[in-house]
This record gives sequence, C-alpha cells and structure tokens, in this order.
Amino acid sequence: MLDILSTIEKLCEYPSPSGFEHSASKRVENIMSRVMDKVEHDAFGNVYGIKKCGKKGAKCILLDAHIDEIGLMVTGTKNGFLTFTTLGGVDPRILPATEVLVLTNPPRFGVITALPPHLQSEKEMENAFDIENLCIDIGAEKDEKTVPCGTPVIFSSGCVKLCENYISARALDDRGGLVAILTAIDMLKSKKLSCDVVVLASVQEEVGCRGAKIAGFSVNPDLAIAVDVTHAHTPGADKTSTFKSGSGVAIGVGPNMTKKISDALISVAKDKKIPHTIEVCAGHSGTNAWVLQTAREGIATGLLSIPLKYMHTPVETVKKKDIEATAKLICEFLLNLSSGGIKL
Amino acid sequence: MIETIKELCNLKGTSGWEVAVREYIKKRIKPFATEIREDIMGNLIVFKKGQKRRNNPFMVCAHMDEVGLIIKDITEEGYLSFDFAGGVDRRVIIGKRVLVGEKGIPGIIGMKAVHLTTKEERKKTPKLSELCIDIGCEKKAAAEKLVSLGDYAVFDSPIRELGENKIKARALDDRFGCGVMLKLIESELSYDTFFVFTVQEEVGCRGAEIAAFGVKPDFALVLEATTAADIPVSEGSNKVCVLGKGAVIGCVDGGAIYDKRLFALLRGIAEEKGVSWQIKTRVAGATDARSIHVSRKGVRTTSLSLPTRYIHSPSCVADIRDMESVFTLARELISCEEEKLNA
Amino acid sequence: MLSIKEILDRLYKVKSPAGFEGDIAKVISAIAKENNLEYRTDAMGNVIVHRKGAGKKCLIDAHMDTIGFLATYIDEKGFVRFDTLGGFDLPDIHHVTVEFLNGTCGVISYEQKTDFKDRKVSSMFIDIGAKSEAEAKELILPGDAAVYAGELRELSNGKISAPYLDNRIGVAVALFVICSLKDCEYDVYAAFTVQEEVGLRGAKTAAYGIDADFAIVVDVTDSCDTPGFDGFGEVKMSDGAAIKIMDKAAIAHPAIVSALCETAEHEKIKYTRDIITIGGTDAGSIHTSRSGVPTGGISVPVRYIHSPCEVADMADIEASVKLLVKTLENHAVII
Repeated sequence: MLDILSTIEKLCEYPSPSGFEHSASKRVENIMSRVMDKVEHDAFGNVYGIKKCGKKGAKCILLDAHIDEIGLMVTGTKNGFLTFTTLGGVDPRILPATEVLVLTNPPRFGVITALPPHLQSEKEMENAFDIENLCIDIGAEKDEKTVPCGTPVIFSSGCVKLCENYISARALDDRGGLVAILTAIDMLKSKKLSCDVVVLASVQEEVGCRGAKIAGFSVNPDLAIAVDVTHAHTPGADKTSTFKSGSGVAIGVGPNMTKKISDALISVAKDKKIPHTIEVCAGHSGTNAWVLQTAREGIATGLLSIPLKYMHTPVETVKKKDIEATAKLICEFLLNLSSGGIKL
Repeated sequence: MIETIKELCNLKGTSGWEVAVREYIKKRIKPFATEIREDIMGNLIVFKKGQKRRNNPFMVCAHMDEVGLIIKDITEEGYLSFDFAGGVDRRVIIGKRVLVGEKGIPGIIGMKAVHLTTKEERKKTPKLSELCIDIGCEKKAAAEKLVSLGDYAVFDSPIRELGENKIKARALDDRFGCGVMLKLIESELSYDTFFVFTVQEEVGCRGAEIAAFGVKPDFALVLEATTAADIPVSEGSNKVCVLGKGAVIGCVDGGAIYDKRLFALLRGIAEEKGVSWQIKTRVAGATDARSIHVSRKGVRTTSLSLPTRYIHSPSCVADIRDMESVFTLARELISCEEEKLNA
Repeated sequence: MLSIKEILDRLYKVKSPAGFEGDIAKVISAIAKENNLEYRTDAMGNVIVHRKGAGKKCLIDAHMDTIGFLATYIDEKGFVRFDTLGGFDLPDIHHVTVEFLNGTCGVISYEQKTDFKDRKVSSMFIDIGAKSEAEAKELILPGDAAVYAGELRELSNGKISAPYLDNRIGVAVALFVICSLKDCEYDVYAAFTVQEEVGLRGAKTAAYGIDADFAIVVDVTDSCDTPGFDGFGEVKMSDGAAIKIMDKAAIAHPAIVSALCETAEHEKIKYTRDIITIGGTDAGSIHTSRSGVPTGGISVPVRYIHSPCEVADMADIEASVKLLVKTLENHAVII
C-alpha cells in the first residue's frame, strides 16, 4: 500500500515552480515507474504514466494532476537583495518574513524582507505591504551576479503532520491530487481493467493550465478526469463556496464537466458509500478540466477535487481522509467502467 | 559562541515561560559560576568572581524571553485564537508554522485563500481576531485535550545559514545576548561581575526592573538584539543600523539615554582595538536598560546590541561578525579598571 | 539583399492595424519573393515564409499587426466615434493625428466637459474635418480602421523613433534573418502573424499549421531606463538583445533560453534577460499549440511602447539579428 504521507513528503523535496518542473518531473517519473507499466515525458516536463490493459481498441482514460506549484521569480538585484515577481497567484500578505529557496545551483536560502514593528505605527501595520516594496534577503553583501534575473524561487516550507490526520505542506495543490491518483492505481494493482489508463502529472497549471492543454492534445483520451484541490472551510471564508475538510471528495458539476461523467462519478460514490460532496462550477472550474475538455475534438471530462485549507500559502493543509476518498472513487469508477457499468 | 547561540535559539521561551532557557543556562554555567540564584519572577542572577574585586558592582544583562503567541480561546471548530506576547507585526505571521505548548504541537497560521479574497481585502492586513492557529482539531473538545488557554506558542523556524556571514533564527532577540553572557561566564574574568538573565523583557522590561533592584549595581551593560531595517525600502537614517557594520553602542533609544561616559569609553575601546561599531540612526525600540538605568538611585548603563533584520518575526537575520564585535567589546568593557569606568 | 533599415523603410510605407494586415502581407511576400523564398498566406492572413532545410523544424514568429482605431459611429456633426484595436494607455492618444487606411487624416480629441481622470475611449472622438455626417461618410465609414500618423525618424546616437516599432522591428528582424541565413540545417519557417494585439490569435493557427519542433518569437519589450522608472527590470535600451524568460502568456522553454544565452556569450553579443509582467506575446499561443512547441523569444528594447513615438536603438536591432542568425547557424537549440 502506497503511504500517503511519505509520498507527499517525497514529492515535497523537489521544487517545481511553474515552468521549472524538470527536477520534480524526474522524481515523479521515478515514483510512477513503480506503479505504471511505462513512463514517458515531453519537452515541457509533463510526465505520462501508462498502464495498458492489452485489449485491442480499449478506451483510454486520462487521470490528471498538476505537479507545478506557485512561486516567485527573481527580476533583478538591489543592494544585494533580490527583487521578484510572482509565478502564479500569490497573496502578497503571506510574503513578509517568509522563508524561501532561491533555485540557483546549488539553491540559496532566503528570507523575504519586512520592516520591524518598532518603526511602524499601528495604522501602518493595517495596510499590507506592496509587493513592489518587498525583496528577498539572501545574506549577500552587495549585488552579485550569482542569481540571474529569471531564477525561480519557492517557499521553503516542508511537510508537517497536524492532529487528526491533517497534513500541512507547501504545494499540496496539487500534489495531493497526484497522490490520490497514485493511491488509486495502487489499489487497482491486482485488478483487471478493460481500459487503458494514462496518469498525467502536468506542468504549468498555475500560470494557465498550459501543460494539460498540450498533454490533452498528445494523449487524446476518451475520458479525462482532472484531480485537483478545492477550497476547504476556513475561518473567514464563505461557507457556501467552500467544503468542509473531512467531507470527502468534491465531484465537479457544471458546463466544464461532461454531464454523464459527473453523474457516473456521483452514482459510484453513492453506491460504494464514498464520502463526497458536489462542487458546482458555473463556468471555468479553475482547473485543468477546462483545457482538457476542449482538446482536439473535445474530450469527455470529469473533475474531482480535494478540500484544501489555505490554498496558495506555504501551509496548505489537507485531511488525509479526503485524499483517500478521492483515491477510492477513482478506483471504483475505473472498475465500474471496466465492468461496463458506465459507457463512454 | 555561535553554536551556543544556535542551541539557545532552538529553545522555547516566550515571555512568562522562560523555564527551558533558564534550565539550559543553569546547566551550562554551573561549573563556572561562583553563585547562582533565581528570583521570584524567574530572573537568573549569576555572580562570578574575577581576579580582582570591584567596589562598584558591574552587572551584565540579557533577556531570556522571546516574542511569541499566547492562546486566548478555542473556537467551536477547534481553531486556536491568540494574542501576541510582545510586539509582533501581524503581517509577518501569516502562512507560518508554530509550535504550541510545552509539547510543541505543530500548528499553522493560515489565511483565507487568495482566490476567495477581493482586491481591497488583499490591501488590508487581517485583524488579529481574524487569524487563528490550526492544529488540525475539528472540535473544541478535541483541541482542549491538547491545548489549554494561556499556553504559549513559538514560531517553528529552523536555524539556517544565510549567505557567507549571516544566520537566520527565531529567537536571536535575545538568545544572542544570553549566548554572549554564557561565553563570558565560561572565561576567566579580571573583575567580579554579576550576570543577569532576565525574564519578560518583551512585555515591558519587567524582569530587569526587579533584578536591578536586587543586584544594586553601579554599572550595567545590556546585551541585546536590535532593530535593523537595512533593506531596500529604507533610505538613510531609516535603516536604523546595518548588518555587518559592527556592534551597536547604546546612545539613545525609546527607553533610555545611555550613559555618555560609558559610550565614550566603549567607542574608544572599539577604535583602539579596531572593532567595528555603529549607533542607531533612529530613536526606536528599547532594552532592559529602560528599567535598569532608573533603578534605585540610578545605574550608569550602556548597551551593546546586535543589528537584527526582521526582528520579532519567525525569521530574524543577523551577521556573525557583528556578534563577535559585541562579544569583544563586552569582554573589554567588563575588564576595565574602575578608574576608567569612572573617568 | 536589403539592409534592415531598407526593410523597415518598406514596411513603413503601409499600415497594418489588427485585422487589416493585407497591405503589409503584400510587402513581406514581395521581399520573400525577391529572395527566392517560398511563401504562403493562411486563412487568417498570416504570411508564412519557408527556407527549406533537412533538420528540425524551426518557427520564427513576428506579428505584423499593430494597435489601431476602429471607427464605430459618425455623429450628425461629422465627428467620428471610435473604439480601439488592441491595448492603449489613454494619455497616449490625447490629441494625436491618425490616418485611416484610405489616407483620410484626423485628430483625436475628447469631450471638453470630461475630467482627465474620467476620460474613456467613449468620451473621445476623431475630428476628420468634416462638417456633417454625410460629408464624413464620403471619406470614411464605420468599420474603417486608422492608425497613428507618423513616420520613421532618426534620433541621435543610432536611435530611431516611430509609431509601431512594435512590431515593425520584429518583422524586419525575422524577415532579414530568414533571407540572410547561410549555413543552417534547420527547416526554417518565418510566420508573420496577424491579430497579436487583440489576443495572439494569428499565431495560434500559424503554429498549428507549421507544427514546428521549436519556436523563437521576435517582438519588442519595455526598456526600463527612462526617468521616474522605479520598478524592476534588467532590460535597458542599448544593452543589446533581450532574451525572453517569461511574459504573461508564456514561460520561455529552458532549452531555448540556454541556447540563446550561450550563443550570446559565445559570440559576444550584448544581451539582457527579459521578464514581462504586463502583456503577453505570440509565444503564448505557439508553445501550447498541438503537443507543445518549446518556445523562446528575442525582444528588442523599446521605450514608450504603444505610444505614437516609440524609440529603439538600431544597435539593439543589429544585436538581435546577430543573435538569431548565430543561434540558428550554430544549431544551438537542443530539444
């Protein structure tokens, strides 16, 4: 049995800011090769794990999770400090005094600047810092040429276990999704499927679902299921648009998802008593499902999401049970498909 | 000394809860100290005999406590509400990890995801009441089994080297000062000296107040970590002090106008020994000197401080060379004969 | 063989607002023909010039459209209301002279009562001198497009100024390079694309049609060196070619970035690294085409982009040409 926590830990060791996923891709290839028959990658770093059923004309199911994470990019130097821009959606309020890893070779540790409270009024502290006024401190004495403009940066936080089987780490969006898929594949180890499965670990989702767009074209599957994260309830967030951690897998419904796929996922979840909720997306689901659906002549698409707290911060938090529910649903869905319960 | 400071920074010791730091220090100094006592608030008062006696007692002091969080409430959903013990800018704690209570239960301070915020919201710092610690518990009852109201939390931030000469750590303010004192206590001294490891500096220099009263020194030296804002947004005097430019000799800060003669003496020693030094270019912050210099009939007080960036955040950054400068000047000062101190 | 300057002079004889690129397509096609290169035009209007080679398929992309104005309504007094084709900074278009494709000139002004901060395109108009709707309609009709009037001028120190250096420069560089390549085994296509300024649309079909192994986009980028500039940015006028790291639509592929940087180092060509945080380039459409096309870019630093008086340095243009030629002739791109 694939261990969820240790797999997340392993994945977290490798930085993969959008556009710079190559080292993480290699790691994912390595992990995938243990559960898939064949593993390939493309020029952008998308990793494809392939498991054929051996039947002629078998349908092809694509399971997608993205491996890129949000980060920062160095844009220059200023008196030895590094200026930066964001890679993906970063709330500037999480940045002051945050520890980062500047991905030079070897990487350099850094701290994002902040002004001491002693120099600021209570009023000033009410306003968030402008991102333009923040820099990365790498301990350099003066401008060095060692960190070229364009160097990517990630948050340096690792993985920590909280109470009640919560896991907190950076980039659980969407390593949580990848781990759910791999867990499902692992559950199917001894089962016979009558469809081919391609597990896609896609790149550049955080900057516009770019990796999945080209992968959808390349694989051209009969069905694609994007496995990503969704917002979990947290203090201050609107409860109508978030999902309680521990409530299981959120099944996407709406124009971005092919109706019969959503329906099938819901009915399998009900039959197998897998904890689940329904996530209604009126338009863009904000996931790779959006681009997978319109690849080539169009692909039947489903979306499964894992509730995640504090998305896009260094302390994203997920409940292990929700990853397990997601894995279970993927597993049961594929079995149901193989037994002809669902027709594509 | 650097290794000692690192070890000290790894200990948890929010204001009012300095016990771990105190026990560590006690153990370390036992073979070297002449006399060790602990007062009612928990200050550790150490006397060490030197080669010569002093008629006018000299007290060196550094505080053991650090800024942190204190648990105020547990919500129905199992989140922990908190307040700050000491001055913390709430902007630096978002998205950071903490360790709660003596057992060090891991928790995180999250924030509503960026996707769920408005542009206006992103410009405002969340109120303290809107922030909470998430330890994973989903119900109040479960959290109550692990955490009690009044438990402290510290930032979970490992020590790291930063560049060639700098280190990053959580509690450099003021484990640095404690580390310098340990090193002095472990060395041979020319004169009898009192060393006081104080409590509750971060909530109002309260430990030092009673310690100074008890020790009755004529001279005091405070070893501290002080605000450096030498980052690109600060120009000129707003940098306050600069990392790598040496020890900060106390001149004027928000709590004290430091003794002019001791200032001149320290400056003279620094120039003579080629030790780099600076003064703060803004009147900001305060040290235990605030309480000490007005104790009883007055104490001639000076300070040596370590320029520290992002002070009172989980990631304080300071320069090792400045630490050495502070140590050298502190050692020289307490080795001065009385005529010099009184000159 | 024409010089870069001669190509630019020929390009500046025509107008090409987004959606109206027919005239410039003819000029580009003519130059390709003079150089005995194959060329074709696709359904969107992209001009695709081909220089055969046995090796990997390389796409050089430069968009040939420009920002412009579209007449939308003519009022009873003969004033022309308009909308924009592509992105503008409103202050740039106060009281500028524009020219419709048929040569009709006009000036842009605004309703007198509106405060500067409240001004929108809808409170502005083009005055073509007509005194009635009927008279105006003899000159132009709603749906006609206009561009900034202005010509290519030389400033001191090898600097040039004109509207639409974005992306006449890119077109000139790409055209000059494909015409002058010598020892290059790559199968090189140069796509002169339409409608970049309204959403990278032409490049989408051009890339699909060509199905290249890799692509290099030639465009312009902001020069971060004018008074009052306090943001970040390494790109400065006269510092050579700017190698694309990232823009809003694409992150340049590491293999292309390193091919360009290494070539620049090796050939001693001045260069900087370019990060664009506002706006994308054709790289966005190209790199996600089909199964993905590793894409990078070379940009020429330009001041006051999208204003009627953009400024560039000929030396940066020369550096960009040299960088592109050497990268291709050295077969530096390893995919």
